[in-house]
Amino acid sequence: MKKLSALILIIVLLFAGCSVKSAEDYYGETQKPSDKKVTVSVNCRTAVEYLKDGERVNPDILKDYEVGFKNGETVFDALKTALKENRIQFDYNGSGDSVYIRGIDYLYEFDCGDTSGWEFSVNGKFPSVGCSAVKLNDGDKISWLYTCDLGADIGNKYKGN
Amino acid sequence: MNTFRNLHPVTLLCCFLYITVFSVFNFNPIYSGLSLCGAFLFALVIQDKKAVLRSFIGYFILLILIAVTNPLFSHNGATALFFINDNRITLEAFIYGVTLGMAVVSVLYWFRCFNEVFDSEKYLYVFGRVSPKLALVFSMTLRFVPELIGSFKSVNASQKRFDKSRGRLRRYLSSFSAVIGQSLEDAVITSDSMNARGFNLKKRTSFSRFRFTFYDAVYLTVFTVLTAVAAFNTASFEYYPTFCPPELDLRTVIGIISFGALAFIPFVYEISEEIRWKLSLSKI
Repeated sequence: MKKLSALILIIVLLFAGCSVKSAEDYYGETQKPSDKKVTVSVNCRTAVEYLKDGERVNPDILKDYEVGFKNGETVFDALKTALKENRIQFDYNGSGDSVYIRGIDYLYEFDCGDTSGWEFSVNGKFPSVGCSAVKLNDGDKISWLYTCDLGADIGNKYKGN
Repeated sequence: MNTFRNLHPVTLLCCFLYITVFSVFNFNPIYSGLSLCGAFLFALVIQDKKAVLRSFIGYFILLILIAVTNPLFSHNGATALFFINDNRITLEAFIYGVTLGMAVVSVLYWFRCFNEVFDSEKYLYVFGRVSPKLALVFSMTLRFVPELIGSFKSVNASQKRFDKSRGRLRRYLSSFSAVIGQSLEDAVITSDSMNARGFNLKKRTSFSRFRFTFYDAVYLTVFTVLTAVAAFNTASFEYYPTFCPPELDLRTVIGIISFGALAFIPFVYEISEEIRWKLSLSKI
């Protein structure tokens, strides 16, 4: 009995602070309107070219989608909102200011070779920090681009350390 | 009854090797399920039925644990069951976890059976040709753990009688230190005894009772052919983003049937020997 209650306590503690919602509830939530907006686009042109057998046809997973944001929100929050409102799947690792996007719309890192994965640019520039460490400014254009070559094929060549 | 063990060690080793390697590398719920069933039934016939059934609860919990843990870490998959924060928990990841769990549990069961069937003499026989030292170390290591657990149990039981005032942790610690001392002593005695019996002397011959008979050759061929057929007709099962089971054409069916046959041969062998034995008993 003692062991069982300890186990239940551990499980409760593990899931404390987690909100569990059904898929309908999760996607049914709407964002409060805000006057400050950014545009988010998600593009996997390189993957469409890489996966020749027609596994992926449409390079634009999300095209110039406008989302509102509150002060202090990051690129990660904007992506989350945009994908949620369009019911697109995504997967990430980490928390705080070191979130890493593993996959968007079932397209994961390493799906197109060892040097493939998701990168993001803000107004055409590629920040060298995680997406949850970059604060949003009004009118920012954020694009998430899939690369098959460490960024070289989307204009962000990896220069090493 | 345990007649499967009377097959030649090489045949036995190949059988277990083929099945375990195949169950691990072919990631398909059908294959994992077949392997699990074969292993469980085989364990039921060659081991104590009650012990196997009791252990099944533990293995089942392990399976469930793996199946539940996988969707917590892998959020791929189109069928979202529910969301925890922003992470989707998907049916696909759960089924993937179930397959993984079945593969792990089936391999554990196969090793259980393997330990029952393959004793240290067979180890020495099979690996002794390749590397006698390796075979010796292998068989001594495998013997070490059960022996340590056994001596720990007996020491702990006597300590329990000896001093009831001490707490459980202190008793375990003193039993543990006694067991370690005992096993160190055993190691010295083992090496003395090995020297006395002429270990490492040149020009020593060894004798083993194993003969590679016609039946062994037949079984070895059957195992190899079945594995080869199954390997050339593997059906890949896609999990993400949606399930994509292989088409049920002739090739897939042949692959599944040959692997199923491979996984069930030990069980069927054992059962048929048992039936033959029962029939041969005098009815007077």
